[in-house]
Amino acid sequence: MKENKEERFKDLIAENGDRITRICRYYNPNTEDQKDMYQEILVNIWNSLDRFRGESSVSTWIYRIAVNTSLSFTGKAFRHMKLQIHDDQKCLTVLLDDDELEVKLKQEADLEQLQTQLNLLSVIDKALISLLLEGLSMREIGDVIGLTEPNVKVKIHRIKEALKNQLNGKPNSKF
Amino acid sequence: METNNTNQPSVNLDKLIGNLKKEDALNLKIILSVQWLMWLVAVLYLVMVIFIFDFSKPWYKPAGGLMVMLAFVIFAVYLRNRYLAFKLIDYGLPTTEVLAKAVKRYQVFQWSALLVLIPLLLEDIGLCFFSYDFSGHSDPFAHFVKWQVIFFVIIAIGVLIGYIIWRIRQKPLRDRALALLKEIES
Repeated sequence: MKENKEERFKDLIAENGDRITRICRYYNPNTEDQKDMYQEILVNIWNSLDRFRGESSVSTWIYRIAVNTSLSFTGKAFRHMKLQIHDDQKCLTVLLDDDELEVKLKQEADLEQLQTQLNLLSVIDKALISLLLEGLSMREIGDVIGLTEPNVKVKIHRIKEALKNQLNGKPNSKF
Repeated sequence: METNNTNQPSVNLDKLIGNLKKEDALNLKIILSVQWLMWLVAVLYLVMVIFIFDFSKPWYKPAGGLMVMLAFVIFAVYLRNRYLAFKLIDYGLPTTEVLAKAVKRYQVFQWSALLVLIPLLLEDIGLCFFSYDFSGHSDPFAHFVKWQVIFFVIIAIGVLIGYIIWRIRQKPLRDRALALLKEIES
């Protein structure tokens, strides 16, 4: 049984290592913190593996562990948690579905501005954005966080609106 | 096996698995050690009861010993369950569930803690009987009152220490989990 667990664990990490890495990169600016968080996620996957019965898909389960770990892991630097986005991020356009803003995105300065605004988001909003950037559907995000699909849609819409207003220089009461 | 893919942080997976296995083994050892310790104390009391059992004396003393023994057994089961509840946190659940469980786990008053009253009561009565001098010269009522005061002070100190530990270590975790939960559900 133990050997079986070890094999399952190794397979899971081999298949989902990149996914975990990306989540770690969203939250941590430096590689040392990314490594710590990566290791913490692996520990939690190991500890939760015996209770994984396949009720959700493996990827949803991995995202749950990654997000839940990030919420507890960041205890040491909870308030300073940084959401890191990268210009190679394929799904970045999902945040900016406005033509005018897509043009802005092409400019490096605006990417920086976007990152600054993202880091003003609350920790939960950051978690939602990280899952959105991963390309998860609203339903999948709901499964990870434990919210209904309409609820996730409302929250994401609110975040997008707030970001849009900020990038357009409009004041936003949310921030 | 090293996950030293260029995109992934370099973590020695075999070493990590080795450490995790060691930790699992250590946890199991701690659970078993606590259980064995409690059973040992329980058996010790049983032996004492058997040895001091004297038909010429009232039933109080052996009954007291048995009560203390029973209290230790209940404590052993309770501590084991509490330890497992803290140790086996399932991070694979949806975030709202994980947070709700954390709020519950770290609240200062737990309904399940009322179960501790049973072994405490048994221990109180048991030790009160056990420590009573049957030579017939001491006043049973005075002994009872004196013992209750001592017992109450010991329990009060224990509760105070527990509260301080909760306030410093667990309350911040509970507050944070509660804040996150409220934010998600808002």
